[in-house]
Amino acid sequence: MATAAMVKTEENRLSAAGWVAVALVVLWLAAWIYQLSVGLQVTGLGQQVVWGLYIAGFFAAAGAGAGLVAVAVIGGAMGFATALTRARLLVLALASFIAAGIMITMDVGSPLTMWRLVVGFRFESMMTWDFWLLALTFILTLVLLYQKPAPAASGLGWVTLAAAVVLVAVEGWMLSSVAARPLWSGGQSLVSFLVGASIGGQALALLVIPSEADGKLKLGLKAMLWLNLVLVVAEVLSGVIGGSPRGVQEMLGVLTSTGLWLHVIVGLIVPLVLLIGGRSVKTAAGLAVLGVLLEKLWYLSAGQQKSWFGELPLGSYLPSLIEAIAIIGVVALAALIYRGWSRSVLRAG
Amino acid sequence: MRYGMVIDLSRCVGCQACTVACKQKNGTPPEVFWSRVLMSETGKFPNARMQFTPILCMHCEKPACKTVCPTGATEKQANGIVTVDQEKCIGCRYCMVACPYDAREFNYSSLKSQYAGQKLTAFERTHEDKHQVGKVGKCNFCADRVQAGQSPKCVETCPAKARFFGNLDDPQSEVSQLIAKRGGHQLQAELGTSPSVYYLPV
Repeated sequence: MATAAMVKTEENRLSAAGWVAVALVVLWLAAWIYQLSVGLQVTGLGQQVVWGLYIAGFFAAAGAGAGLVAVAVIGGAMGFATALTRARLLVLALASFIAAGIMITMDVGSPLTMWRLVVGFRFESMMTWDFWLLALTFILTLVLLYQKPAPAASGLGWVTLAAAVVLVAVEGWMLSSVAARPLWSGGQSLVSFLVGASIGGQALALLVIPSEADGKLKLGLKAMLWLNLVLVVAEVLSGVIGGSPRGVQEMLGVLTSTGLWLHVIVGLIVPLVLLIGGRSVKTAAGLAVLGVLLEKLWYLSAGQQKSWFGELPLGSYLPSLIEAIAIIGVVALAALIYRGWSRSVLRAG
Repeated sequence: MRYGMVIDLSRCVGCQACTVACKQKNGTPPEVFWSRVLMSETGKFPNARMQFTPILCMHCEKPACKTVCPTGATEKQANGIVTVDQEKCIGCRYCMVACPYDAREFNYSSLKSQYAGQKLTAFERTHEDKHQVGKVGKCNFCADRVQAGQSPKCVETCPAKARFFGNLDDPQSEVSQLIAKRGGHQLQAELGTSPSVYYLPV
């Protein structure tokens, strides 16, 4: 009797969380419709900082999706992810890719003309590569999810993993190939994106897989969080010590930005302390995912703030309420997609 | 044929006549400037002076904005002018991120009147289709005027005659001669985009 009551209570609690998610999705849809009717003026963007929270969310979600694919494929090959766990991870990866697609659609000024990316694309543009690689990785992940029988390791799995890695590398390259932005240019953006994807994937996996299977993931996440911390310190030091005058100015701007310190403290140090102490793994994982988003945000913002003309003041960017509602709503939608889809996949066996 | 511009910094007095002429010609939205004059101070008192740097789209020979444009909206025409096709532009702003000169502007809203709180004037309505919401715009060297054999409006307007316009591929043209004789330089030449706007030293 007591057990039945507990199960019922649990169902009610989940149901309440589901309804909150539905409400957040409705709020996001309303915000998006409003944005479509008046334009991107409802964001905090301007003429100096033109890529903000939506792009940060896009990079974080696409990277996390790629990271989840990696965990599923490598976990299968190494034997720490069962078929059911792999299915869950792949569904979550697909939900992340859908979230990424929505965020990039929200970011473009004329979403109704995005069909031109399909029929009139320019091959040299890294954005074209990004678009097609995201689509390819999504399709491969979908096929992998429904592959019957589902072997622990398959050729298709490795191909999907390769596509996911290239997707993240291209997104890093999108920034590192922009010579006009000293902070981004060079190879560090690419490495930072790969590490961010690994953190996002492992942290999201820790949130959804059974706790008895999370030993290797905790170890992997700790290693990547340390690496990310080292990369941030290296980036700041190399900018301040060896950079051009503009690079030094940019880096000094970075050092005084709230985003960097939020990322370092909330997204790196606190999760590391929690993981090392062996406590609150889910909280650590959640904060690590938030940290990936925060890193993309400060990195994007800092790279655009400084004009080439030294005398001009730094451009500023603070996400607007509409952007915040949108990002939370898209995350809620991804959670709902994951919940519904994973149940249906698990029921189907 | 490669159209280009030469700006004589020793003649520019920072009057912003070019800035206003550009706004009149192109009807750009409030706070959007396809052409402007940046001001800075050089030296120390008592030898300090104001320095003026007029900037606009550099119509680079190897435009970074064109390479990154995913839909081919940004094109380099046969005459060297870099243009943005408003119909093809999806408003991703990758070109703005890639432009080393911050020469591009995004239309965050539909065209608003220069007179705050009022409807568009008849003049402003004639420019409405050039500044569509969600699209990127920039200087096009007044392509319609150039096609009609005239020079860009900023060149025609400059009261100090600090701007010159012509064919950079023709070694006998006024612009080529000025660059050769006065040592014209490009801004951020080290980035390799080879801008078609040259500056003559003060």
